[in-house]
Amino acid sequence: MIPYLLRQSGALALRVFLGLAIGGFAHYLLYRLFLPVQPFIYVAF
Amino acid sequence: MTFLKIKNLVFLLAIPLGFGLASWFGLNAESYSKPSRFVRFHYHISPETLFFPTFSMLENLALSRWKPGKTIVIIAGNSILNGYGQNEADVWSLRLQDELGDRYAVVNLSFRGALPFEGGMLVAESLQRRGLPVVLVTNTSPGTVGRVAGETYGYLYYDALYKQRLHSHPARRANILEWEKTASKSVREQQTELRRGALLDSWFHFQGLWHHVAYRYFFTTWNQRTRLTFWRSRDKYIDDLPVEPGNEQRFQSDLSSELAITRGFSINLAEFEEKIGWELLQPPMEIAGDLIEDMIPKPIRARTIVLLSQNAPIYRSKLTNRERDRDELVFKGYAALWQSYGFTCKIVGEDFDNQDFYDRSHLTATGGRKLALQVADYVRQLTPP
Repeated sequence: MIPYLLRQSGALALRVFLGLAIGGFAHYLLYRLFLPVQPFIYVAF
Repeated sequence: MTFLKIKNLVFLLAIPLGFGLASWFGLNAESYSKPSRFVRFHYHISPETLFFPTFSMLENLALSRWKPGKTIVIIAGNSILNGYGQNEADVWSLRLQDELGDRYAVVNLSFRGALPFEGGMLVAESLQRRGLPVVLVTNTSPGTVGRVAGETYGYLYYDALYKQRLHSHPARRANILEWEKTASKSVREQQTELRRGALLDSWFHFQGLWHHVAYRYFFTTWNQRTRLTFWRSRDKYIDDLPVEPGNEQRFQSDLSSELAITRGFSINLAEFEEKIGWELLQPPMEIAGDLIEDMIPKPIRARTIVLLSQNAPIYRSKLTNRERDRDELVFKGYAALWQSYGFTCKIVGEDFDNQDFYDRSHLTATGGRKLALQVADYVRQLTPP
């Protein structure tokens, strides 16, 4: 039972972390999209 | 609800939470983020290397030097006031601070290639709105006024505008919108994008956060100047603007093109009448006057010193007598124009010698010291004890 709960809470924490990271990345993308440089693809990577 | 559904729900909720947290960090960064050990905007903290200092960074730089009882002296303008040609330790604004003493806090917010009222003026405006004592020092050439938006540093105008830092001055917005109507499609699209970006940034503060990260931690965009070390945080870079060369290497650029630029300061601003001599042309003066009226709110004018920068004597001495007369008339005429709108306007560089110039327009350390002495006088006259 306890290993199962640990696994599940680990999975939950992972999803929280992933969600936060994606939200942060979306915020970063706004900065990059509005950086006044063109074309975007040239500076994206 | 199954555990799988809970996990998915948590994941979906964490995305806006992450975005919201980043926005909150950005909002906080706007209140403190600024370059440290700041003297001036050098290449690595300027748009030349894709680092676009935010309006709040400029404001924080000025505020960090201010204490009650002090007057903030903000230097705007172009590369001449940026100290291009002077060592970081010799930049003229440091000499100006020495000369003015503790009653004043001098901050150099000029950028290379900037128009006289881009960037720095907006900071002066914002601080004046907050009731702080401010003096603005900027420079230009006769006939050049320009808009606060539309060029490289125009993003600062939208940044300040959407964060409600500026005086209400409807004529400025109307003028910019009117100008946009006559601009090319690509310019109109660029301005629209800048406005959209600034509006979104006023809600989500992404420029504040990611420019803070870029300055303190790491940079994410490759560019020509930093190349393979583009990822380094911008606080690691030193000020490597060019410094004055030896006497024999100075004034080596093409004489005819430098002379053409020197003549260009006045050639289209006056005409010669046989019986009268040189006369100022009215249309360019009216255009300049209209731009001054539209771009610069009245409250800041009385606190602004506009410097009309003269060219190096080596080039002025090669003008014909007639051209020199025209040059003199145009400089004096445009100084009078600025004064008629409530500014203090002074011509600088007329009494400097060739040793004071790095090239046609930029100053060496000795030229910078002379400029600092003159500007200190003008600032004191504007702010009697």
